[in-house]
Amino acid sequence: MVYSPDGEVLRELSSRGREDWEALENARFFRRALEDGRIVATEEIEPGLLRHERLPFVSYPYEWPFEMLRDAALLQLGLLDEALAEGFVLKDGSPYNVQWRGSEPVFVDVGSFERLREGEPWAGYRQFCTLFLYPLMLQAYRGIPPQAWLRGSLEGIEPSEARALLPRFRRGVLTHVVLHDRLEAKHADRERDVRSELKAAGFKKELIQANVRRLRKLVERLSPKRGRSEWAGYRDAAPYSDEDAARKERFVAGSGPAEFVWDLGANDGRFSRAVGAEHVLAVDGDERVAGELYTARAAGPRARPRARAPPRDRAEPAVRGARHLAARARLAARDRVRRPRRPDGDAPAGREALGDA
Amino acid sequence: MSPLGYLDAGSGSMLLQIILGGAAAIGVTMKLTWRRFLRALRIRRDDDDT
Repeated sequence: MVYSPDGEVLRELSSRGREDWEALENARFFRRALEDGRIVATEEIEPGLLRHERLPFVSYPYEWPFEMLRDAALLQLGLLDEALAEGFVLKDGSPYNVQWRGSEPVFVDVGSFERLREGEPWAGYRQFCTLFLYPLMLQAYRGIPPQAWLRGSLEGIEPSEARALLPRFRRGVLTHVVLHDRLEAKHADRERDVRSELKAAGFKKELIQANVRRLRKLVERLSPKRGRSEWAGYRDAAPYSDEDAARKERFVAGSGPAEFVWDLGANDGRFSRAVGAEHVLAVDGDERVAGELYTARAAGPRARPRARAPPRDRAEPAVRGARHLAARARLAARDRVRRPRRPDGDAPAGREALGDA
Repeated sequence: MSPLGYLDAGSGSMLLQIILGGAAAIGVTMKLTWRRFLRALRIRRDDDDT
Protein backbone atom coordinates (compact mmCIF):
# COMPACT_ATOMS: atom_id res chain seq x y z
CA MET A 1 0.00 0.00 0.00
CA VAL A 2 1.49 3.31 -1.08
CA TYR A 3 -0.03 6.65 -0.16
CA SER A 4 1.07 10.24 0.14
CA PRO A 5 -0.54 12.55 2.65
CA ASP A 6 1.29 15.87 2.95
CA GLY A 7 3.23 15.18 -0.18
CA GLU A 8 5.20 12.30 1.29
CA VAL A 9 5.43 8.94 -0.38
CA LEU A 10 4.90 6.28 2.24
CA ARG A 11 4.64 2.55 1.98
CA GLU A 12 3.19 0.31 4.63
CA LEU A 13 4.60 -3.20 4.66
CA SER A 14 2.58 -6.34 5.20
CA SER A 15 3.98 -8.83 7.67
CA ARG A 16 5.50 -10.81 4.83
CA GLY A 17 6.77 -7.62 3.35
CA ARG A 18 8.44 -6.72 6.62
CA GLU A 19 10.38 -9.95 6.65
CA ASP A 20 11.55 -9.37 3.10
CA TRP A 21 12.45 -5.77 3.96
CA GLU A 22 14.47 -6.77 6.99
CA ALA A 23 16.53 -9.07 4.82
CA LEU A 24 16.71 -6.56 1.98
CA GLU A 25 17.91 -3.53 3.86
CA ASN A 26 21.02 -5.39 4.91
CA ALA A 27 21.79 -6.74 1.49
CA ARG A 28 24.95 -5.31 -0.04
CA PHE A 29 23.54 -4.88 -3.50
CA PHE A 30 20.59 -2.95 -2.08
CA ARG A 31 22.74 -0.56 -0.12
CA ARG A 32 24.97 0.00 -3.12
CA ALA A 33 22.04 0.70 -5.39
CA LEU A 34 20.52 3.10 -2.86
CA GLU A 35 23.79 4.93 -2.63
CA ASP A 36 24.30 5.40 -6.33
CA GLY A 37 20.70 6.32 -6.83
CA ARG A 38 19.56 3.40 -8.94
CA ILE A 39 16.96 2.58 -6.34
CA VAL A 40 14.73 5.34 -5.00
CA ALA A 41 15.89 6.67 -1.63
CA THR A 42 14.09 4.72 1.06
CA GLU A 43 14.09 4.86 4.84
CA GLU A 44 12.13 3.07 7.49
CA ILE A 45 10.57 5.81 9.57
CA GLU A 46 8.62 3.48 11.82
CA PRO A 47 8.64 -0.29 12.03
CA GLY A 48 6.86 -1.47 8.92
CA LEU A 49 6.54 2.00 7.41
CA LEU A 50 8.87 3.19 4.69
CA ARG A 51 9.28 6.64 3.26
CA HIS A 52 10.50 7.09 -0.28
CA GLU A 53 12.17 10.00 -1.97
CA ARG A 54 9.65 11.99 -3.90
CA LEU A 55 10.48 12.25 -7.57
CA PRO A 56 9.48 15.45 -9.32
CA PHE A 57 7.37 13.84 -12.01
CA VAL A 58 5.69 10.51 -12.65
CA SER A 59 5.55 9.21 -16.19
CA TYR A 60 4.53 6.00 -17.86
CA PRO A 61 6.32 3.65 -20.24
CA TYR A 62 4.07 4.57 -23.15
CA GLU A 63 5.31 8.13 -22.84
CA TRP A 64 8.97 7.21 -23.23
CA PRO A 65 11.01 6.99 -26.42
CA PHE A 66 12.76 3.72 -27.26
CA GLU A 67 16.04 4.55 -25.55
CA MET A 68 14.35 5.25 -22.25
CA LEU A 69 12.42 1.98 -22.30
CA ARG A 70 15.63 0.16 -23.12
CA ASP A 71 17.57 1.81 -20.29
CA ALA A 72 14.74 1.03 -17.88
CA ALA A 73 14.95 -2.61 -18.98
CA LEU A 74 18.70 -2.65 -18.45
CA LEU A 75 18.28 -1.16 -14.99
CA GLN A 76 15.76 -3.83 -14.10
CA LEU A 77 17.96 -6.64 -15.41
CA GLY A 78 21.05 -5.22 -13.71
CA LEU A 79 19.36 -5.02 -10.34
CA LEU A 80 17.92 -8.48 -10.77
CA ASP A 81 21.35 -9.92 -11.56
CA GLU A 82 22.85 -8.35 -8.44
CA ALA A 83 19.90 -9.37 -6.32
CA LEU A 84 20.08 -13.01 -7.39
CA ALA A 85 23.69 -13.25 -6.28
CA GLU A 86 22.53 -12.48 -2.75
CA GLY A 87 19.44 -14.65 -2.76
CA PHE A 88 16.84 -12.09 -3.78
CA VAL A 89 14.60 -11.82 -6.81
CA LEU A 90 12.33 -9.24 -8.36
CA LYS A 91 8.73 -10.41 -8.27
CA ASP A 92 7.83 -8.78 -11.54
CA GLY A 93 9.28 -7.41 -14.73
CA SER A 94 7.36 -4.24 -15.28
CA PRO A 95 8.52 -0.87 -16.59
CA TYR A 96 5.97 0.71 -14.28
CA ASN A 97 8.52 -0.01 -11.55
CA VAL A 98 10.91 2.47 -13.09
CA GLN A 99 10.72 6.23 -12.84
CA TRP A 100 13.17 8.97 -13.72
CA ARG A 101 15.32 11.48 -11.96
CA GLY A 102 16.23 13.78 -14.80
CA SER A 103 17.58 11.45 -17.45
CA GLU A 104 18.44 8.68 -15.03
CA PRO A 105 16.24 5.67 -14.51
CA VAL A 106 15.35 4.95 -10.89
CA PHE A 107 13.80 1.75 -9.63
CA VAL A 108 10.92 2.72 -7.37
CA ASP A 109 9.17 -0.48 -6.39
CA VAL A 110 11.16 -1.62 -3.41
CA GLY A 111 8.33 -4.00 -2.51
CA SER A 112 9.09 -5.92 -5.65
CA PHE A 113 12.20 -7.44 -4.08
CA GLU A 114 11.68 -10.64 -2.20
CA ARG A 115 13.82 -13.44 -0.94
CA LEU A 116 14.25 -16.07 -3.58
CA ARG A 117 12.63 -19.34 -2.69
CA GLU A 118 14.55 -22.40 -3.66
CA GLY A 119 13.50 -24.09 -6.86
CA GLU A 120 11.42 -21.13 -8.02
CA PRO A 121 11.83 -19.67 -11.48
CA TRP A 122 11.59 -15.94 -12.13
CA ALA A 123 7.88 -15.18 -12.05
CA GLY A 124 8.44 -11.80 -13.69
CA TYR A 125 9.99 -13.16 -16.88
CA ARG A 126 6.74 -13.31 -18.83
CA GLN A 127 5.88 -9.76 -17.85
CA PHE A 128 9.37 -8.64 -18.80
CA CYS A 129 8.74 -10.03 -22.26
CA THR A 130 5.31 -8.50 -22.75
CA LEU A 131 6.11 -5.06 -21.36
CA PHE A 132 9.79 -4.56 -22.13
CA LEU A 133 11.23 -7.01 -24.62
CA TYR A 134 8.48 -7.33 -27.22
CA PRO A 135 7.82 -3.56 -27.43
CA LEU A 136 11.54 -2.96 -27.89
CA MET A 137 11.79 -5.69 -30.51
CA LEU A 138 8.76 -4.33 -32.32
CA GLN A 139 10.58 -1.10 -32.87
CA ALA A 140 14.04 -2.57 -33.39
CA TYR A 141 12.98 -5.25 -35.86
CA ARG A 142 9.89 -3.79 -37.48
CA GLY A 143 10.33 -0.07 -37.00
CA ILE A 144 6.96 0.18 -35.27
CA PRO A 145 7.03 2.42 -32.21
CA PRO A 146 5.18 0.57 -29.43
CA GLN A 147 3.82 3.50 -27.43
CA ALA A 148 0.32 3.43 -28.86
CA TRP A 149 0.13 -0.29 -28.17
CA LEU A 150 1.31 0.12 -24.58
CA ARG A 151 -1.25 2.83 -24.00
CA GLY A 152 -4.02 0.50 -25.08
CA SER A 153 -2.78 -2.62 -23.40
CA LEU A 154 -1.54 -2.25 -19.86
CA GLU A 155 -0.09 -5.75 -19.89
CA GLY A 156 1.84 -5.17 -23.09
CA ILE A 157 2.18 -7.39 -26.14
CA GLU A 158 1.22 -11.05 -25.75
CA PRO A 159 3.61 -13.78 -26.94
CA SER A 160 1.17 -14.90 -29.62
CA GLU A 161 0.87 -11.35 -30.92
CA ALA A 162 4.61 -10.82 -30.87
CA ARG A 163 5.08 -14.06 -32.73
CA ALA A 164 2.73 -12.92 -35.46
CA LEU A 165 4.61 -9.66 -35.89
CA LEU A 166 8.29 -10.29 -35.37
CA PRO A 167 10.73 -11.82 -37.86
CA ARG A 168 11.66 -15.22 -36.50
CA PHE A 169 15.36 -15.18 -37.29
CA ARG A 170 16.28 -11.94 -35.67
CA ARG A 171 18.24 -12.15 -32.46
CA GLY A 172 16.22 -13.44 -29.53
CA VAL A 173 13.01 -14.10 -31.40
CA LEU A 174 13.16 -17.87 -31.72
CA THR A 175 13.55 -18.35 -27.98
CA HIS A 176 11.81 -15.46 -26.26
CA VAL A 177 8.96 -15.18 -28.76
CA VAL A 178 8.33 -18.29 -30.84
CA LEU A 179 9.28 -20.95 -28.33
CA HIS A 180 7.68 -18.92 -25.58
CA ASP A 181 4.38 -18.83 -27.41
CA ARG A 182 4.47 -22.54 -28.18
CA LEU A 183 5.21 -23.54 -24.61
CA GLU A 184 2.56 -21.21 -23.33
CA ALA A 185 -0.07 -22.72 -25.54
CA LYS A 186 0.97 -26.22 -24.63
CA HIS A 187 1.06 -25.75 -20.88
CA ALA A 188 -1.77 -23.34 -20.22
CA ASP A 189 -3.57 -23.77 -16.86
CA ARG A 190 -0.83 -25.94 -15.45
CA GLU A 191 0.86 -23.31 -13.35
CA ARG A 192 0.70 -25.06 -10.03
CA ASP A 193 1.87 -28.35 -11.49
CA VAL A 194 4.72 -26.81 -13.37
CA ARG A 195 5.93 -24.94 -10.31
CA SER A 196 6.12 -28.07 -8.22
CA GLU A 197 7.72 -30.01 -11.05
CA LEU A 198 10.42 -27.42 -11.44
CA LYS A 199 11.05 -27.33 -7.73
CA ALA A 200 11.27 -31.09 -7.49
CA ALA A 201 13.66 -31.15 -10.42
CA GLY A 202 15.93 -28.76 -8.60
CA PHE A 203 15.49 -25.59 -10.61
CA LYS A 204 18.32 -23.33 -9.54
CA LYS A 205 18.86 -19.63 -9.44
CA GLU A 206 21.82 -20.06 -11.78
CA LEU A 207 19.31 -20.71 -14.52
CA ILE A 208 17.66 -17.39 -13.86
CA GLN A 209 21.03 -15.68 -13.78
CA ALA A 210 22.00 -17.20 -17.10
CA ASN A 211 18.74 -16.03 -18.65
CA VAL A 212 19.04 -12.55 -17.18
CA ARG A 213 22.54 -12.16 -18.58
CA ARG A 214 21.46 -13.30 -22.02
CA LEU A 215 18.58 -10.86 -21.90
CA ARG A 216 20.94 -8.06 -20.96
CA LYS A 217 23.18 -8.71 -23.92
CA LEU A 218 20.18 -8.92 -26.17
CA VAL A 219 18.59 -5.70 -24.95
CA GLU A 220 21.87 -3.80 -25.03
CA ARG A 221 22.14 -4.50 -28.72
CA LEU A 222 18.63 -3.44 -29.65
CA SER A 223 18.49 -0.12 -31.41
CA PRO A 224 15.48 1.73 -32.74
CA LYS A 225 14.59 1.50 -36.38
CA ARG A 226 13.06 4.78 -37.36
CA GLY A 227 11.70 6.08 -40.58
CA ARG A 228 11.91 9.59 -41.82
CA SER A 229 11.15 11.99 -39.06
CA GLU A 230 9.17 15.12 -39.71
CA TRP A 231 10.82 17.05 -36.99
CA ALA A 232 14.37 15.78 -36.79
CA GLY A 233 15.87 18.48 -38.94
CA TYR A 234 13.60 21.18 -37.62
CA ARG A 235 16.24 23.30 -36.03
CA ASP A 236 18.09 23.74 -39.28
CA ALA A 237 14.97 24.30 -41.31
CA ALA A 238 13.12 26.29 -38.67
CA PRO A 239 11.29 29.48 -39.53
CA TYR A 240 13.29 31.37 -36.91
CA SER A 241 16.25 33.37 -38.04
CA ASP A 242 19.32 32.99 -35.84
CA GLU A 243 18.56 36.36 -34.34
CA ASP A 244 14.97 35.45 -33.54
CA ALA A 245 16.07 32.20 -32.02
CA ALA A 246 18.59 33.97 -29.83
CA ARG A 247 15.95 36.45 -28.78
CA LYS A 248 13.59 33.64 -27.89
CA GLU A 249 16.32 31.98 -25.90
CA ARG A 250 16.94 35.14 -23.93
CA PHE A 251 13.22 35.52 -23.29
CA VAL A 252 12.98 31.98 -22.04
CA ALA A 253 16.05 32.35 -19.84
CA GLY A 254 14.67 35.55 -18.39
CA SER A 255 11.28 34.17 -17.57
CA GLY A 256 12.47 32.05 -14.66
CA PRO A 257 13.13 31.09 -11.98
CA ALA A 258 10.60 28.32 -11.68
CA GLU A 259 10.32 25.05 -9.87
CA PHE A 260 9.00 22.92 -12.67
CA VAL A 261 8.70 23.81 -16.33
CA TRP A 262 7.12 21.89 -19.18
CA ASP A 263 8.62 22.51 -22.60
CA LEU A 264 5.93 21.31 -25.00
CA GLY A 265 7.51 20.66 -28.36
CA ALA A 266 11.03 20.64 -26.96
CA ASN A 267 12.69 19.28 -30.10
CA ASP A 268 16.46 19.40 -29.54
CA GLY A 269 16.05 20.84 -26.05
CA ARG A 270 17.64 24.18 -26.75
CA PHE A 271 15.01 26.12 -24.84
CA SER A 272 14.64 23.44 -22.16
CA ARG A 273 18.26 24.06 -21.33
CA ALA A 274 17.90 27.80 -21.41
CA VAL A 275 15.09 28.08 -18.90
CA GLY A 276 16.07 28.66 -15.27
CA ALA A 277 14.16 25.91 -13.53
CA GLU A 278 14.82 23.24 -10.99
CA HIS A 279 13.14 20.64 -13.18
CA VAL A 280 12.28 20.72 -16.83
CA LEU A 281 10.02 18.26 -18.56
CA ALA A 282 10.85 18.15 -22.25
CA VAL A 283 7.93 16.85 -24.26
CA ASP A 284 7.82 16.17 -27.97
CA GLY A 285 5.34 14.36 -30.16
CA ASP A 286 8.10 13.04 -32.39
CA GLU A 287 9.53 9.85 -30.97
CA ARG A 288 12.86 10.09 -32.76
CA VAL A 289 13.45 13.62 -31.60
CA ALA A 290 12.62 12.72 -28.01
CA GLY A 291 14.93 9.70 -28.20
CA GLU A 292 17.82 11.79 -29.49
CA LEU A 293 17.34 14.40 -26.82
CA TYR A 294 17.30 11.74 -24.14
CA THR A 295 20.48 10.17 -25.51
CA ALA A 296 22.22 13.52 -25.48
CA ARG A 297 21.11 14.16 -21.91
CA ALA A 298 21.91 10.66 -20.69
CA ALA A 299 25.46 11.14 -21.87
CA GLY A 300 25.81 14.21 -19.67
CA PRO A 301 26.59 14.66 -15.96
CA ARG A 302 24.61 12.27 -13.81
CA ALA A 303 22.03 13.36 -11.29
CA ARG A 304 22.49 12.20 -7.72
CA PRO A 305 19.76 11.44 -5.20
CA ARG A 306 19.19 14.31 -2.85
CA ALA A 307 17.59 14.62 0.54
CA ARG A 308 17.32 18.38 0.26
CA ALA A 309 16.27 20.59 -2.60
CA PRO A 310 18.92 20.92 -5.31
CA PRO A 311 20.63 24.23 -6.14
CA ARG A 312 18.28 26.37 -8.15
CA ASP A 313 20.47 27.03 -11.14
CA ARG A 314 20.61 23.46 -12.37
CA ALA A 315 18.15 22.53 -15.07
CA GLU A 316 17.66 18.85 -15.85
CA PRO A 317 15.46 18.32 -18.84
CA ALA A 318 13.65 15.04 -18.42
CA VAL A 319 12.57 13.73 -21.77
CA ARG A 320 9.24 12.28 -22.73
CA GLY A 321 7.90 11.72 -26.18
CA ALA A 322 4.18 11.62 -26.64
CA ARG A 323 1.29 13.79 -27.68
CA HIS A 324 -0.44 12.12 -24.80
CA LEU A 325 1.39 14.46 -22.49
CA ALA A 326 -0.47 17.44 -23.86
CA ALA A 327 -3.57 15.79 -22.47
CA ARG A 328 -1.82 15.27 -19.14
CA ALA A 329 -0.89 18.93 -19.13
CA ARG A 330 -4.54 19.82 -19.40
CA LEU A 331 -5.40 17.43 -16.60
CA ALA A 332 -2.61 18.80 -14.42
CA ALA A 333 -3.80 22.33 -14.99
CA ARG A 334 -7.29 21.30 -14.05
CA ASP A 335 -6.01 19.60 -10.89
CA ARG A 336 -4.16 22.74 -9.88
CA VAL A 337 -7.35 24.72 -10.14
CA ARG A 338 -9.05 22.28 -7.82
CA ARG A 339 -6.21 22.03 -5.35
CA PRO A 340 -4.75 25.44 -4.55
CA ARG A 341 -1.04 25.68 -3.88
CA ARG A 342 0.01 25.51 -0.27
CA PRO A 343 1.38 28.65 1.34
CA ASP A 344 4.86 27.12 1.65
CA GLY A 345 5.08 26.69 -2.09
CA ASP A 346 4.97 22.91 -2.34
CA ALA A 347 3.33 21.59 -5.43
CA PRO A 348 0.08 19.77 -4.68
CA ALA A 349 0.08 16.00 -4.82
CA GLY A 350 -1.23 15.15 -8.26
CA ARG A 351 -2.05 11.79 -9.79
CA GLU A 352 1.23 10.50 -8.52
CA ALA A 353 0.44 7.62 -6.23
CA LEU A 354 2.81 4.82 -7.08
CA GLY A 355 0.25 2.08 -6.90
CA ASP A 356 1.05 -1.57 -6.37
CA ALA A 357 0.50 -3.14 -9.74
CA MET B 1 4.74 -24.61 -1.16
CA SER B 2 5.01 -21.04 -2.29
CA PRO B 3 1.87 -18.95 -2.69
CA LEU B 4 0.90 -17.89 -6.17
CA GLY B 5 1.90 -14.27 -6.64
CA TYR B 6 -0.36 -11.55 -7.99
CA LEU B 7 1.23 -12.04 -11.36
CA ASP B 8 0.47 -14.69 -13.94
CA ALA B 9 3.94 -16.18 -14.22
CA GLY B 10 2.84 -18.42 -17.06
CA SER B 11 3.63 -22.11 -16.91
CA GLY B 12 5.11 -22.06 -20.39
CA SER B 13 7.24 -19.09 -19.39
CA MET B 14 8.56 -20.92 -16.39
CA LEU B 15 9.47 -23.97 -18.45
CA LEU B 16 11.15 -21.79 -21.05
CA GLN B 17 13.51 -20.56 -18.36
CA ILE B 18 15.05 -24.01 -18.24
CA ILE B 19 15.92 -23.88 -21.91
CA LEU B 20 17.19 -20.36 -21.59
CA GLY B 21 19.30 -21.39 -18.64
CA GLY B 22 21.56 -23.11 -21.13
CA ALA B 23 24.13 -25.62 -20.01
CA ALA B 24 23.22 -25.15 -16.37
CA ALA B 25 19.84 -26.48 -17.29
CA ILE B 26 20.83 -29.84 -18.64
CA GLY B 27 20.81 -31.43 -15.23
CA VAL B 28 17.45 -29.96 -14.36
CA THR B 29 15.89 -30.99 -17.66
CA MET B 30 17.12 -34.53 -17.33
CA LYS B 31 15.70 -34.84 -13.87
CA LEU B 32 12.36 -33.39 -14.95
CA THR B 33 12.09 -35.67 -17.94
CA TRP B 34 13.18 -38.72 -15.95
CA ARG B 35 10.56 -38.12 -13.29
CA ARG B 36 7.87 -37.68 -15.91
CA PHE B 37 9.00 -40.82 -17.61
CA LEU B 38 8.83 -42.76 -14.40
CA ARG B 39 5.41 -41.35 -13.64
CA ALA B 40 4.19 -42.27 -17.06
CA LEU B 41 5.35 -45.81 -16.49
CA ARG B 42 3.65 -45.61 -13.09
CA ILE B 43 6.87 -46.51 -11.33
CA ARG B 44 6.49 -43.21 -9.46
CA ARG B 45 3.22 -41.94 -8.12
CA ASP B 46 2.11 -38.37 -8.82
CA ASP B 47 2.52 -37.20 -5.25
CA ASP B 48 5.90 -38.81 -4.88
CA ASP B 49 8.01 -35.70 -5.34
CA THR B 50 10.91 -35.94 -2.94
